[in-house]
Amino acid sequence: MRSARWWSFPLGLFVAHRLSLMLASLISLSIDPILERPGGIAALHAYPALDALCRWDCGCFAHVAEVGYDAPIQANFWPLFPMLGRVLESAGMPLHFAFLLIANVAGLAAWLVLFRLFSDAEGEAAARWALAVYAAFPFAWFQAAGYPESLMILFTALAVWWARRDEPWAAGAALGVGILARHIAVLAGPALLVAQLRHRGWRALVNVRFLALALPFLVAGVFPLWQWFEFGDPLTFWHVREKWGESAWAGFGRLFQPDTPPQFNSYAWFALVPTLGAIALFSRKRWAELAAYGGFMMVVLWTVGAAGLGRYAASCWPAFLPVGVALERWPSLRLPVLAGLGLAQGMFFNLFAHQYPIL
Amino acid sequence: MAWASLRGVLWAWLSSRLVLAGVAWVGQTMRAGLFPLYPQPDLLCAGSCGADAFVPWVVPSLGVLLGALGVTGLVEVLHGREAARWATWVWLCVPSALVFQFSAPLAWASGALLVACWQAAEGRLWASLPALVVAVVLLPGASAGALFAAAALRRARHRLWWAPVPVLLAAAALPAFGHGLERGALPLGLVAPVGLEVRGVMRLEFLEALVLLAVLGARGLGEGDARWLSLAAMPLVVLGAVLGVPWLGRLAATGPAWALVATELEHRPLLRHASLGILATFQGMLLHFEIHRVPVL
Repeated sequence: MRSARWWSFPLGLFVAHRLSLMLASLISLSIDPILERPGGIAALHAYPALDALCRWDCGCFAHVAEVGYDAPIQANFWPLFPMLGRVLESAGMPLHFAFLLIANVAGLAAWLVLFRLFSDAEGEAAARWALAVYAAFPFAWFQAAGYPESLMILFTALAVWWARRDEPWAAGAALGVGILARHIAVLAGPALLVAQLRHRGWRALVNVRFLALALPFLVAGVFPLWQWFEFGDPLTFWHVREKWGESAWAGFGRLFQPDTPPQFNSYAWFALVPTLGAIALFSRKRWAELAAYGGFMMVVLWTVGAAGLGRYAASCWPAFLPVGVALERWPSLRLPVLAGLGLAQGMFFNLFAHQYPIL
Repeated sequence: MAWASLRGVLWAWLSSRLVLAGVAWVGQTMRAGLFPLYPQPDLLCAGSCGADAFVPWVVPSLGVLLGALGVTGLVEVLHGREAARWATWVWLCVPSALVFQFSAPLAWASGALLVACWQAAEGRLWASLPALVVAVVLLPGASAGALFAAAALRRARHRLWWAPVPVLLAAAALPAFGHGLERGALPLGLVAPVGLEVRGVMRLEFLEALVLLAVLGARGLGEGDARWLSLAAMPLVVLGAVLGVPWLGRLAATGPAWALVATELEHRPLLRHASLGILATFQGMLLHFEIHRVPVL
């Protein structure tokens, strides 16, 4: 049973989280204004409360928004986020502010959808803990930064939400838009398939609504099609990853080696939380769609995504529901888990603020 | 204190220290590869743990345990067990409370002061006084906490004439130890000039004090015991503002102010979830600076 003011928790938590990140940015950069390496966005240096929220990929998306895809290697950055930024810029808003606005409006919408999804599945108390852990996760600040993570989370959450309600066309369209934000949103695809099978059994395979599973590819296929015309290869975004160095496809085997970048190892420790959550998703039938997405995503991340394991694990939202359920069941775990993750978030956000390679 | 409460304190203390050590260890392991900026000795014993590294970590931790006992006991007497659980965690996660892990005298002073306040709230004058003496010896500024102990004692015993005893004792102890400051304790002699620019980490400590004063002030406008206890908890915070702006948050964290403020969270689930995460986030930020010896003042 959901209360009439159910939205107050995700809204309040969102406001508290974002205000604290802005304050952390302000304090962090005023304590130590030295950046570890040159970078950041000059236009934001005058606003230390926002400055730390635009590093690394934020600049790459800005380049795409301002200049366009002037080289194949840019194809790694999918177009929805820079396009939206460009739209707001043409309406008079400075681009980097537009990025932050888009990321955070999408972030708020995503948290509202997630809270509804979680509370429908397991009740409001568990949903509160799940969202609290999700917000405290050490890399949750990526959703406040000028990155498309929030858009991806919003649209995958909407896709799964609609899929569970047997609205496959809406789910497919939402997932397609999500892929245009961040290509790994495609990992939510199995959730849509599982939802169809749950609703109609094997008869789903001969139902016209099964065709809705092609919709994400039709919507998101616009970008590979454009790459085909532009660069002569519809999979340019895939092939250019080779140029990002050996870490582009680094997996579990790359971790804890003598020459492993130390931050990769630290991602692995914290990614254990959503990994355990993803495993737990398989324990209840009513979590089937979430298991299909969360489980698949974590397997892919451990296999080829070690370099972004922290950030991507923070986007694996289904995995946080079982963690919330566990915290509701075992109160003694609540505070250490929440405090420990929050503590690490402060540390990693600080590193990001100072332009350390937390990617 | 009931066994269930004691078990809760031990769990909160142990898990918070383990979490802190774990996150510090992760930060430390990254330091070698990532951070050429501030090359300093390791904070934790990365790879070669010996007694010289073990002792500096454990001794302050025991002071923190004493403080956690004090907070739990105090809030349990005033507001019950559930409120005490949250208050203890909030106190452990307060950003400025991180300094206790790196300063044994401050940790033990805080622990002693909070135990003194707890015992006073239980009405045990003769258990409270020795703890108060220890606190003032280690940290003269803790004498401002005697006001709270006095108020708590008056509440417990309903006899006003006992109340000035802790204050008088603290006042007597202060001159004797005012110049015998222990290593790492609050340098009370460094009187911050009025108008000192609030910069760096002081902004965070300043904010903490503002939150404390706002909540305690609001409660001070109320009625009953809560009013007098809240008002009595304020001098320690104010003392920091007057005498040691750079150490404002730390001085406030040594006393019962955060414990009282945290009781406001008991029936507010959103605040409870959010505040803990936020406090821990800022503590993590300070931990990062501590690990890398960034000069924060």
